[in-house]
Amino acid sequence: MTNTILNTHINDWFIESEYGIKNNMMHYNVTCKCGTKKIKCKQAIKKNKACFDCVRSQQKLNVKHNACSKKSDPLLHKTYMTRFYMIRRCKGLTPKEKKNYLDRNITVCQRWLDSFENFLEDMGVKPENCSIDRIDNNKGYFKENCRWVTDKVQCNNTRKNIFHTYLNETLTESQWAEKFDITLSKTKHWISKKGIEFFVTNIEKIKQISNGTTNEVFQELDLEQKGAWKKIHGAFSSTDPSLLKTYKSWEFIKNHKAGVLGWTKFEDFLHDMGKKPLDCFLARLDITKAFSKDNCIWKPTTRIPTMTKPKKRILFTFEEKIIENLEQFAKEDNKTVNDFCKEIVKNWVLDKLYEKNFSSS
Amino acid sequence: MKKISVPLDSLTIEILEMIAEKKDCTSSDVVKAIIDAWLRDRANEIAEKISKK
Repeated sequence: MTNTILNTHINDWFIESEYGIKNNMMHYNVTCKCGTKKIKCKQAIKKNKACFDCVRSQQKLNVKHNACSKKSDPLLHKTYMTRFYMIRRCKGLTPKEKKNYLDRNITVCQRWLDSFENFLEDMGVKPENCSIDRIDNNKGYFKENCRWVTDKVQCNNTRKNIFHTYLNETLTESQWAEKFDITLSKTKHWISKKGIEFFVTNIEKIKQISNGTTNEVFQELDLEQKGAWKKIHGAFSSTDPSLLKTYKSWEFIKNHKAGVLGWTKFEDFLHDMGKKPLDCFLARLDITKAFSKDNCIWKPTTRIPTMTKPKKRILFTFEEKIIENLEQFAKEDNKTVNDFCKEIVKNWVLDKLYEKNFSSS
Repeated sequence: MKKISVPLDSLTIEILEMIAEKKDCTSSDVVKAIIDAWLRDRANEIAEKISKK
């Protein structure tokens, strides 16, 4: 038997001559294809196809081998896993996958199913922070319909998105929001309330309202609804309290049993009656008739108007020299300049009062 | 020029405002005049203090 394998090739090994018995096994002098010489037993020759260096170099050339191992090439491995999960999704193993892929007839093309190399050739290595995206959601996975995209693009290309078109431009709500530099919630609010055309044409005014800076814009946009007045950042109430009071008056008479004539909108009421003056209420001239322009006035309340809050401090300026002198006097009394001045003024006022009393008596 | 803010009660302020109305000026002008007059009365004292320095 020993003679039969001499001068023959097994795998990449060439068996040159016998070496001798080692560990109760016959060993041979063998040479690899690359020229490396080794001493191996028959079993080892059959098991190891080539020398270590040759095997290693072959492995490096093997794309699939590198793709399978995470350590050798992480990005290639990610690409491999993308294909793996893509195929698995399309098999529809879970109810969710079945509903979203198998039932919609979304499949992977045969070329990509055949080998990973084909997929790699068509799509290239997966870029960092990207995932595979189908350009047309209703079509399957094939070269023309797939691309590597970021999560943001991926999210904008889902069936869940609501698209709005204005002047041949179709974008999602988040894309509109990004385009006009406004928050998504505000974009959703205005588009749902007034539509895309209103949103795009009045974007500057909407931004002003969002900032809570202007109140006139509300009137310009003809927003009579209470929600619109109040909801957005309280711009209405914070900037013009008297207008809010006027609104409340209108709200009160709207539900009054006497009825309202001609004031279906708040704007009409505001136009006819003007803003509610301080310490006034809406009164009817003839109580038997309904609320209307001719029958209503702003009537002053009988209670005493609220006193203006007393000032607590009086401000004035002095030259620095005079203040220095005052500081000296204040220091002697262990007081601040302000308190010292307060005492001077108070004493002066008291003196005046005494003088008046004496003179009158 | 330096600012001074004098804390006063509402009654004093009312009196000061009455005086200001009569004199056709603001209440802060009245307060300023009062303090000026007070300092003028103590001009000698101030002069002494400066000479001591």
